[in-house]
Amino acid sequence: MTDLFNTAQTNDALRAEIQEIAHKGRASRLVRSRIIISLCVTALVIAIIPLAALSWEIILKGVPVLKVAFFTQLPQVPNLANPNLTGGVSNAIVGSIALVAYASIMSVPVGVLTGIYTAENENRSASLLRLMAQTMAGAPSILMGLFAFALVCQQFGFGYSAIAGSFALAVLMVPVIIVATEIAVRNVPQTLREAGLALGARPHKVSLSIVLPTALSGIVTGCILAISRAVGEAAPVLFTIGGASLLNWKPTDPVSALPISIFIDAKSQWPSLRAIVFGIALVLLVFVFIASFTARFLVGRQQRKS
Amino acid sequence: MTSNSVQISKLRRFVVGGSKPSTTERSWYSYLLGAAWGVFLLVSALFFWSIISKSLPVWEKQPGTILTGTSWGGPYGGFPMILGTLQTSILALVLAVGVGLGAAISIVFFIPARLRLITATIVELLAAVPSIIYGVWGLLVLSPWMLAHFYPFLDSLGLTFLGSSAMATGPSILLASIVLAVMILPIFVSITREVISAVPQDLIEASLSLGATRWQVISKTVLPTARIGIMGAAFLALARATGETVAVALTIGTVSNVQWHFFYPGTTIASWIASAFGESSSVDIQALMALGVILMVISLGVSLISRWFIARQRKMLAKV
Amino acid sequence: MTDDLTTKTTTAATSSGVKVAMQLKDVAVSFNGRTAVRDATFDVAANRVTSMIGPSGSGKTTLLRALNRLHDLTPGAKVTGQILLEGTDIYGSDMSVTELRTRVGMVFQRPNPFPTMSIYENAISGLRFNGVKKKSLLDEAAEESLRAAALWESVESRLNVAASNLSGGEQQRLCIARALALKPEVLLMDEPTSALDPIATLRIEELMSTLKQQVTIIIVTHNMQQASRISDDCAFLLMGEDRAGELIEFNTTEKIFNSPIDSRTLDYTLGRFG
Repeated sequence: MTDLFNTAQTNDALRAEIQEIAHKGRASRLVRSRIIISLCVTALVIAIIPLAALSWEIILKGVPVLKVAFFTQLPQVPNLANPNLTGGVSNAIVGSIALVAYASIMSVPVGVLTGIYTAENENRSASLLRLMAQTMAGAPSILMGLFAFALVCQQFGFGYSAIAGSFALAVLMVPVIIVATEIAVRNVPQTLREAGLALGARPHKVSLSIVLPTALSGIVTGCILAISRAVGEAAPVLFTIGGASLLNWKPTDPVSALPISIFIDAKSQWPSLRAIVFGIALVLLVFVFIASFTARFLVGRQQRKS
Repeated sequence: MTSNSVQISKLRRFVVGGSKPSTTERSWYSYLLGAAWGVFLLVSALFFWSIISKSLPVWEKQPGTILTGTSWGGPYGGFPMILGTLQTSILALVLAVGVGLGAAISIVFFIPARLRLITATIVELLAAVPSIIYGVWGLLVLSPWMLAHFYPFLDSLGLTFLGSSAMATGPSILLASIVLAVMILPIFVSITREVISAVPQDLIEASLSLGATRWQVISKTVLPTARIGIMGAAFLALARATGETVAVALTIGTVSNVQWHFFYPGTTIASWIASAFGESSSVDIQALMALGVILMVISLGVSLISRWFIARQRKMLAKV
Repeated sequence: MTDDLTTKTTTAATSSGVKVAMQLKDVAVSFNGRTAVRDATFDVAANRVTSMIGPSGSGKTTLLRALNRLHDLTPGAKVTGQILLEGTDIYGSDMSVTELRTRVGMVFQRPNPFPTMSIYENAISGLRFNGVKKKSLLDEAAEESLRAAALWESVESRLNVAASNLSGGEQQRLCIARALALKPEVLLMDEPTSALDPIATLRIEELMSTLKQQVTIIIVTHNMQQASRISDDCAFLLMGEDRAGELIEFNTTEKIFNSPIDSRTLDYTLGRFG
């Protein structure tokens, strides 16, 4: 009996001691919490500032550059007599379109089919493929340029050409498409696949007619994102396409590209050429943002449907 | 069945996949898929092989110099580039984690739900911006501003080890690091967000029920639980920073000597390859390929470390 | 059932002069305008086990979580009515949320020890949150709370081991110890044994009779046999037609199970629905 009484007493004493200590520091703990939280929110604001500042500058300085001549004329070199003679970037526009088109032809079939394979199989080769895709997706893009140079320019003898640049871009795009396709196909509910099999359809027919159409928007999203990335990449094409001041587009011709025009003009001593850079950047930004929003829209629509 | 045909059907299963019913009829479908991923594997293998093989002469003749030599040409010294890659990437990582951790925590815990989508979208858009645009923004917009305001400010703080702002020309290690930090921030924030959100809600409730303040819940419960995953996010961002080419090429100035003062131009492996390629002879190119191999190793190594961390985080959360 | 026969606001405890730990007066909880539970009025007697029983959806857990203001976390949640802890309104300005939670502890349905902490660190985590640094105090509180949770003998030799090494039942007792280390006046338990095997469940039930000498216990359980085994007082809740839970009857456990006033209470305890 006395044991219980003592315990109750020491219990109350301990409780009072704990409450006292807790109470003493409480105000400062709460203040500290609030201060650090506002620091975190400040960090978020800081994180957003670059995008705002960047978009603002590019819109501000890019819009005046986007005259018709910008899109239709070939580039020209300013001289002391005509310091504002810049011409346009039609060669780069045509070149970029050609590069991305060839790259897509090379990368989309390989990427989508491989992604379907890795989504539908759990064997060792699928695991290896997934590992390769993830590794290549994270690889520095300049290495793709080196690869394309070694293989296509030198080994296959194409020299500086659109096909070499497209190859580099394709190597860049394939892992992105594989990963996106695998996710899209895996997201198709297993019940759909089972229903098809239960109706007697053969596995590959189930894949083609049932699973693929459902996964299509996810796959398309992946391709859009891959293309969007390819359009803006400069490193893979830097020393594979050679550059051209004419409207080259054939696979074996050297071509120009929008990111390369930026790269060259940005370092120019002529302010007028440096100003062009903002126009090109604006075009690229708009393209990339549209692609990004389209991708989100497609994914959102897919989620709403299911 | 003879042992031969047993082996063949085993091989068939390995190639075609065990999840399909074992029909002996090989549809064109599986051939098509096989061709596709065969091509992918082949090209990936060629990717590694061609860069490595083109650089072999360098590894045979001067393996030590490429790693430690400090001048380019004649014996090709890659140490300035390796050093510069580490300088810019690590500084960029420090900046990105400092800001990104707070940003990710804010998005998950403090931003009202309706704003969350907008802020998350903005961070994702940052990731979609092509690196060359960051490069020109850094060179044409940020650099003049830093020359006019930031370098003198840092000077006034007495940070003379960075160099003297009077002698700065604009392109510098510091500028490149800041641009890199902006570029790798989105990926760090996006993964950190995921990892933090995956901390079970009842751990948070348990902490609150013990009288913790909101920040205590985050610092003593959420962050320690997510710590491994956050490390994974940091290493992934680091991997991205090491490989970045054009944004750095435009903002770092690209010289070929060792530089310790961050106000002055420096170099990295990727930007050096990009800048020097145009004027390189075929022997020079071999050395550039060797640099490419070094970059491959660095980038791959960091990615693997990141992957290991993220896998460990997933395992730990599965046990909770 | 006429109104004057149904006593919702029973003060069976206070009428005999027993101390009251918490009082609920017309407490209702709603989420974004939709009422989840309402009309909860009863007194929780000190140093007794009060159980809250009823079929799922009757608002028991929702009501319990109002008692340590966990609904503050949920945007759109609104708690009306009055909840008093030792006479002080817990939603008032005289008591901060953090102080409330040191005086009203909680144990959750699934054991949730902090995964990155050892057994010892888990036990004292509440004290650390509240600024207690003195090692002697921490050690004393850890040992006492682990003893109170009947865990001390099994862990005293491995206090620095990660908490995840314990079995489910041991982890839950660690969570009880963790809550007890702060010496709260009230301990809220939200179906604490529903995720445990029968043996672990029994061990925790055995704790109740000694624990209640230290703390007032309010326990939500969907297992009415458990309620009849361990609780002194009992609140029966039921979901109404508008899908809002309401308190049907509150009385001593003995009366609830043997001579309930409301027919719905009788139906439930006889197992006619659940």
